[in-house]
Amino acid sequence: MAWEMSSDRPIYTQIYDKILVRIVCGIYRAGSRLPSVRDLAAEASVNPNTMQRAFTELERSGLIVTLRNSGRVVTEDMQMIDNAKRQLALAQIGSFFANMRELGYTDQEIMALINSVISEK
Amino acid sequence: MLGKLFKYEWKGLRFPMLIMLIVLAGTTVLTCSVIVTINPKFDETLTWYSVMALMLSIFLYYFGIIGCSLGVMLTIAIRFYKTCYTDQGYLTHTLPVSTQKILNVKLISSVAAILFLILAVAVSLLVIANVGVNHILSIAIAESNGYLTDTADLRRLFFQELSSALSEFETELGISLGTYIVYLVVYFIIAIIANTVTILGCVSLGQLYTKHRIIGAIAAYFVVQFILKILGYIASIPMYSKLMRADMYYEEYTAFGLMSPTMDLALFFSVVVAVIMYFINLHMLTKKLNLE
Amino acid sequence: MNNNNENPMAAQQDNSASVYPQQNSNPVPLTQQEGGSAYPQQTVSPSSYPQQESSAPLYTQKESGSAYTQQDQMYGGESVSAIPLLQLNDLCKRYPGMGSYMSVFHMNLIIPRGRIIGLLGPNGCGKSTLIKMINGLLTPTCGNVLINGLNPCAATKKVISYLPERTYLDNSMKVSQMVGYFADFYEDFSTEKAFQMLGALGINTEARLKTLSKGTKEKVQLILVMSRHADLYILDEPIAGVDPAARDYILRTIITNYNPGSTILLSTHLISDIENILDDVIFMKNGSLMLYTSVDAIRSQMGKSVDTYFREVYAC
Repeated sequence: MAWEMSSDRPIYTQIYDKILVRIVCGIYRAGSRLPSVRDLAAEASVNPNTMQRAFTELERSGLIVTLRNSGRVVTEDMQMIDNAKRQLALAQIGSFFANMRELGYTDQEIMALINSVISEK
Repeated sequence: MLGKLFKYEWKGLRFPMLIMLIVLAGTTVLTCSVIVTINPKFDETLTWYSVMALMLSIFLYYFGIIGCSLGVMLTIAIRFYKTCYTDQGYLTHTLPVSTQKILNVKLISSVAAILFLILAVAVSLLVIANVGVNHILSIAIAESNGYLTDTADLRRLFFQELSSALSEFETELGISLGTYIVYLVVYFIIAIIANTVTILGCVSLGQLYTKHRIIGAIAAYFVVQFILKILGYIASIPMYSKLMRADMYYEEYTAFGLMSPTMDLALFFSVVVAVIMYFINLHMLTKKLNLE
Repeated sequence: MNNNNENPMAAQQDNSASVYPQQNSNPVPLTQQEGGSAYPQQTVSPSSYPQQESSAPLYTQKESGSAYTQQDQMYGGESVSAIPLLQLNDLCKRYPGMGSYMSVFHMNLIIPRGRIIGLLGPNGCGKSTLIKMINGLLTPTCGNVLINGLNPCAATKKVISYLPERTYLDNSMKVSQMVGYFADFYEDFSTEKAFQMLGALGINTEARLKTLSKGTKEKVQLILVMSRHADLYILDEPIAGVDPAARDYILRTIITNYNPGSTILLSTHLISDIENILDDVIFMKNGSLMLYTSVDAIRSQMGKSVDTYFREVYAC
């Protein structure tokens, strides 16, 4: 099944984000081999060049490493992965707060709501 | 590459040719079986029926031959049209082969198909003749009440008569029979090739009339036939003029001497038309190709 | 609503800036032929191609538009060629019955290897005419088409794999015989690949073509075309007559068949379906080249999908 893409941003940045999420939540474990550009492009139904570009960006940011004999692997650097995870989380929280504030809630009201939702679970 | 082109041309022509062979074989068998049933001992009505049957079967045979020759021409034209100028043209013209090669292969295959049919007709005529002669001989033997015991004498007689008739024919003709046969065969083959190129050329000319290409092809065919007829009349001028001179001045002439200038000239015209048509074909298939 | 005057990308490529092609949609434009100034200066020169932020610039000596060549070990070393895969030089075509209207109007274009390119435009804008000329099925009125530096001939047909919009196969043959036909004439045809794809789509290879439905015939045609290892694939509406499930399969086939030495030129109306697999797009209108840019450039500079942008550009 093709990956869901939105139409207003370059595809390679969206692919980058999706692969990042997969790395962060462990679908592509640290040190494990990534699928080939071609296979992943076919899975996502995107142009292999675009997929390659996303890979290049991931390499540039250090999340992916190209080893001489084993191709592309996810970095072993857990620190980096945790950092990325944290960045994603912060971004989620940031947009959550922005949306809630737009609805008119103050920060304290937001915290109280969160707590009540958690205690109900 | 050429071999493969031939292979697929043959595959495409195979089926219609088979149908025509079957028709030809059918009418041949029919005629032969009718011949074999003729018996002079029949009374009046039966004789009448059997003569009618013979005439009918010869009629059918004649039409069979005409149908087959028309059929071959149509098959060739239709196949050329279909593979070069309809949607299949997208396949044909994107093959990694030069267009001229494609045209040449189609021409050669078409001529081969026609020659094949002629061969088949010749074979069937021989078969009928053989059956007929054998039947007549067997009747003669039966009627002779023992006077004739085998066919050897009769055959010898027959061939004696035949050879004297042939040598008379030869002197009338003016050239030896062998030469004449060679002349006819070569003439025939050139004429067939020229005719085939011309037919395909008419199909190509039809492409000029973009709205109704098939009607255009048929119209082109009639126009070309008309032109060829006129050229044929022009070609027969030397023959007529010689005849008239001969009448007036008691000039000696031979049959071949009369015919040959006309036939040669007519062939020459056909070849000229054919060459023009070949280049028309090439032009329409390359520069003016316009598939829908 | 005329975006072209404000469009930064069209201005990038088009030095006579906002001059919209003089050839408008009614068939007798008079300004076409009046001297040089009437010709839309829509020349695509390599330098005007929008530079993407990363990866190799597109028109280097390398001729390869993809970043594959060094980094992806699977593809090894691609041989370098300085001859562009496809080049159009002042290409024009005028059909006999159409007065002075040119179906393709002075097109100049260089298409590199290793890209998947969409050829987009409304009906009648000259896409099919252009495609036919590339394939040698139509002779240009002026200008020329060069494939690997050669005019269309048997050698160029060898390296182009073309899927026309029509069903062009011999209906009396069986599917397997058609595979044999392609294998006979095209050295780069892979019979195993063809049968594998036919099997994956559940097509009976012993069936005669005339018994198949139109959609199935189109799938067969596409499979035959994609089973070749050509330099240039030209697909004219490959997914239009096909059901959505098969469309995904076809798009995946196109992606997996992709290799850095080949370019795929896709002409289609269904932009939103294929947008994700395109590298670049070519917009045509009234026989002229309107735009030649990358999908990423449109998305990042215009903030819209190609589909949306197309609708704006061609709004009636």
